[in-house]
Amino acid sequence: MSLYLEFIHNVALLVALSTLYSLIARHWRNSLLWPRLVTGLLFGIVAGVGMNLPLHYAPGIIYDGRSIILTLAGLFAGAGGAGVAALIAGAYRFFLGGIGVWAGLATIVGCALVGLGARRLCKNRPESMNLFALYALGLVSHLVMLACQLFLPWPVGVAAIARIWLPVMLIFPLATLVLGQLMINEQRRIITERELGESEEKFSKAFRLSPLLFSITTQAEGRFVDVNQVFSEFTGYARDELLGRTTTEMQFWADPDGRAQMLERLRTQGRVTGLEMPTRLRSGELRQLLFAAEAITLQGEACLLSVSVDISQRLQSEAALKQARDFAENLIATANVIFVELDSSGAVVRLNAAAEEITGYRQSELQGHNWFLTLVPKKSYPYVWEEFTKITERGLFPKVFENPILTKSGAEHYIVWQNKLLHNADGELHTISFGIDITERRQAEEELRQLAAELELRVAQRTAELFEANQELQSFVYSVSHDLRAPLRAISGFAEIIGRRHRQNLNPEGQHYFDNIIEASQRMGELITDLLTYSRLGREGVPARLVDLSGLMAEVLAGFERESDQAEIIVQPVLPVVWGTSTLLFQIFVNLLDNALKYHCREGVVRIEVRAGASSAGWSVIEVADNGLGIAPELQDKIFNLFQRLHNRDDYPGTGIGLAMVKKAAALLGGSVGVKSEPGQGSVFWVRLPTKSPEERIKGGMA
Amino acid sequence: MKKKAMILLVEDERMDIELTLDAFRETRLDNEVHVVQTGEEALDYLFGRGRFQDRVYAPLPDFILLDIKLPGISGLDVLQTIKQTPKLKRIPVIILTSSKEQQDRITSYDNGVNSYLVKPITFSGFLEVVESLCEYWLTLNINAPNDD
Repeated sequence: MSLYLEFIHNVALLVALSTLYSLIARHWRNSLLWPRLVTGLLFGIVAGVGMNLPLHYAPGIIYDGRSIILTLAGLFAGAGGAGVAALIAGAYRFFLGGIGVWAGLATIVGCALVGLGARRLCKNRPESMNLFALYALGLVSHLVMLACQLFLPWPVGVAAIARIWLPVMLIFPLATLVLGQLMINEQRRIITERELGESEEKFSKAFRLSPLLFSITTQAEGRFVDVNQVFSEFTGYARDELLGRTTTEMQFWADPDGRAQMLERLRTQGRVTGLEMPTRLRSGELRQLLFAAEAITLQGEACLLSVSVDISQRLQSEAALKQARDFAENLIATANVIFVELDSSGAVVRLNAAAEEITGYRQSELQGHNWFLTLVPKKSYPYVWEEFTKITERGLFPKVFENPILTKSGAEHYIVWQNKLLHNADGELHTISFGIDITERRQAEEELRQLAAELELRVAQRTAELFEANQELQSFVYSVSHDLRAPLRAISGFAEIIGRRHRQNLNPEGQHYFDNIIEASQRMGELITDLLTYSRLGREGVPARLVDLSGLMAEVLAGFERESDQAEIIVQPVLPVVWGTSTLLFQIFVNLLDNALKYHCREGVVRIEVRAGASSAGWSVIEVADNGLGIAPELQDKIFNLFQRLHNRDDYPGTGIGLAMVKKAAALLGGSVGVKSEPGQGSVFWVRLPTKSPEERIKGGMA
Repeated sequence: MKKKAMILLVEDERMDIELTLDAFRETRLDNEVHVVQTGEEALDYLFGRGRFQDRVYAPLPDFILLDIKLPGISGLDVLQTIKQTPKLKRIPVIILTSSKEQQDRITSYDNGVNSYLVKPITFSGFLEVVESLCEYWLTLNINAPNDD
């Protein structure tokens, strides 16, 4: 009977142990050593106490719950705790003494080791063990305990085993199971509590710190139960202003059905996700929020926990992005510019309508095909491909690039390209190229070039023809004038002979007509002489040189000896040195002087002045001024033309060749002539002549 | 007594011949003018060929008045031949032409012409030319010694 009483004592002790354990286990952390040591201490002490409540089997042979305690110490407290427990229990058993000391100590150590082994097997998580595992542990540890009885003196040990094995194996494993389960439950409860606490902490931290808008409202009225700082900042209301008020009161939903929609979703789908709703801020501004919400129960009331984010900006930028993309797409699609996108291998990604039109291919026909192999003519392929690889491999862009493409119909078109490198959505490098068809422009240019060349050729031909015609005309004029001389000579020669020998045989009328013949033939002689001189000008081929006009003018004046009696001719003593031939210069001044003498006024002394005019670099101007008739402005251009006469021949005889000769001679020398005159005010004829050779003039840059 | 001067006039233009001959007549100088009308004839005369074989009938002239523009062989060709022929080259040759062309003048002088005159337009001009020519070439100028 006392054996059963002792057993109940032991059970009570073990229950007390599990309660004490739960107190310590709360402080268990993987990183802390002291709770394990304290646990070991507790187990050791309880094992010691248990030894005072033994089941007395025989004198010196006592059995108690220490095997269970140490097994569980190994399982729950690990090596440190089990070591402490085994030490205390072992020391106490040793202190008790008796013949069972060694068996008792062996039991202590053996059970602790079995517990540690089980701990190892369940990977240090005893709470994961089920009832069977615990029972199996109890069986193993008590088999070990029975085996330890062999440390008793022979044959006491065997006898003891024979005596106790049945009660031990029936009761002790079950006790191990019960006590272990109690402790496991305790442990599980502690863990659950701790996890709950952690999860609450996590939630409250998330609630507080999240950049998202958190709010908890009652489902029934939409009354704010809690909001986070972000929510209050976002709405513009202080937390205290919101709590206890309803969303309707705050006019939170811009859409009057907002709340209803949210609840409807919650009802049908169990939760709300991805719901976009406009909300109103304190400032009245509307913002689009993206909601997620779930039902929670707070203090028995059905509430709604909603998390939301302001997507107004995102929507705006998305809209802007879409607009930009649409704009670009439309531009590409409708622009009359060829657009082609190629990947880095040269395969066609896409092209626009203009590109389809010019190539004759649909986009679908070209997609994935190498642009260059398909569309670039063989002869151009190498350099075009090289240019493309320069772009893709080295990022080198030609400013513009021109190449021919072969269309589907086989026609060749010239396209001028501008290229750009872009990364597509997948981060691959693509080239986009814009091209303009310049085939027509090139053709036009080519035609223009040909026309220009033709024109040039024609101009050259025409110039040559003109030159030839001019030459012909000159020699024609020359031969005509020349050949006219022979008959003229005959006319005037024989007329003169008649005049000498036979004039008296004519009556007065005959004599008058005869005189007319003489006069006409004389005039014709002058005309022919002047014409010959004119056409001969410049044909002499005498090279030009520097000529001193002072000396030349003296020679010219010598020819006017007779006329200078009736006229006052003043020549500036020093005249410039000019570049020319003396023949041409002679003609210029002879004719200018002749002209000045011829067209004098009826009364008064003829005054002629030859002087140097204003000179410029490389040029000299010589003026021949007279006090003669003068020339009306509208006639001043004409007087240098061949055969141009302003006066009746009977009043002022002349051939109309003199000034033309001046003009031609001056032009042959590279110079020019002109006149400043007023009718009745006399005239100033000027000649502008070069003072340097044409080569020097070109070198000096003078015009 | 000095023998009659002999002048060869090479001229194709009939009227010029008449004017020249009239001028010679008018000056009343004691000379004989032989007229040939082509270059070929002139050379025949000078070389004593064909109808000019008889030197009595066609003696070598004291000077030659030579026109440039002649049908066939030109006056300049005739001049060249004369000046290249040893027994003719010392006979004074006077070009009497209507050409003032530089090229003609150059060619004439290069070929050894003795004088270059331009035909006057008037008869009095002709008179002056003929008078001067005769005075100069027949009176003042001393001819080169004759080979004959």
